[in-house]
Amino acid sequence: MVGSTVLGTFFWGLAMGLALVKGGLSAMQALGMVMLVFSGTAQLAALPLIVQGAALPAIWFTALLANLRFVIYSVLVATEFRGRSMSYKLLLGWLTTDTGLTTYLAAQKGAAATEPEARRAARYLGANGLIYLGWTGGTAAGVLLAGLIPDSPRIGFIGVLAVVALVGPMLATRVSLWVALAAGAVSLIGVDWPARMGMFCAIVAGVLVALVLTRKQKPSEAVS
Amino acid sequence: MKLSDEQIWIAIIGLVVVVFVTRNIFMVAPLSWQPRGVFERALRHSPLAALIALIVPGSAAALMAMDASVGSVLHDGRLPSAIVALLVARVARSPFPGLIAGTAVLLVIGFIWP
Repeated sequence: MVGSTVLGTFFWGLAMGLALVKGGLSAMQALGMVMLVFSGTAQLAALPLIVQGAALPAIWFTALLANLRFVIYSVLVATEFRGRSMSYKLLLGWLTTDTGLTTYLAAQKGAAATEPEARRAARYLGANGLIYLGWTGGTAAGVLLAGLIPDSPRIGFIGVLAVVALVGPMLATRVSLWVALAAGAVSLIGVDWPARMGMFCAIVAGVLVALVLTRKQKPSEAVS
Repeated sequence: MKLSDEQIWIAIIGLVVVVFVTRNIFMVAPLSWQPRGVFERALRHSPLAALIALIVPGSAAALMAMDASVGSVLHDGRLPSAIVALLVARVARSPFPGLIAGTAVLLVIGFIWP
């Protein structure tokens, strides 16, 4: 499951590397941004503002809005790994990705309920660590090949297809189908909203639908 | 006005801080603040909602265009390849066959209809 995600992340990184360099960043700035920030949505939201020469607080605030969903994820990660040391938890939190968390939650469904937290944390670190390598490797390739590869939207869309394929097996329950429908509808309505607020509102809509539909479910049925 | 090299680096460092704080805010928040029960279970669907929000606008862009037609959506290739990727991954219950099938559709459309 992680393999296709890492492959897709590589192509997404490739497109990001091309976009950063063609947007006017130096190779060092592009690589530094990708390795340290490690957030595709924050970078995509910030890049046009950096290129336009916007005020720094505006750039940071836009990235904050684009990344609000990670506040929700941090609840999950903090709950899941509450027994780990603070530095380990901060590492796990910083490495958290949409696809890594999804892959982990899917793997948890098949894992024994008694599995030690240390092993679960190692699996989480491994999934997100591989995605980090795919992301930075893809970006490095994009930065290096920026002069050779035409700026094709098809290359970037292979990364999107990897996420589509990741979603496919998750749509196995009634709750997950309704969550997907709600989030998809709101993401289309809010596609032009500033600072990726459409994405955040889509997540809120999905969680609200899940909240309504899971109220009377047992915990074991609730995870997508 | 274009940002200087130093300003771009300051912007990047600020982004690192923003991302680090948002991803870790509940690591340092008191345990009593963390949601429990039904709400915590509902939150477990948030990554699925986020992935859907990441893929739907791009996949459906040609369909949402003012002058959309069956031909323009097929020529664009993103929606057909996304549907194939989703269905194959769903039937196979594994993402990798879906990625391969969707990518094949995207590339074949680009090759025969550039």
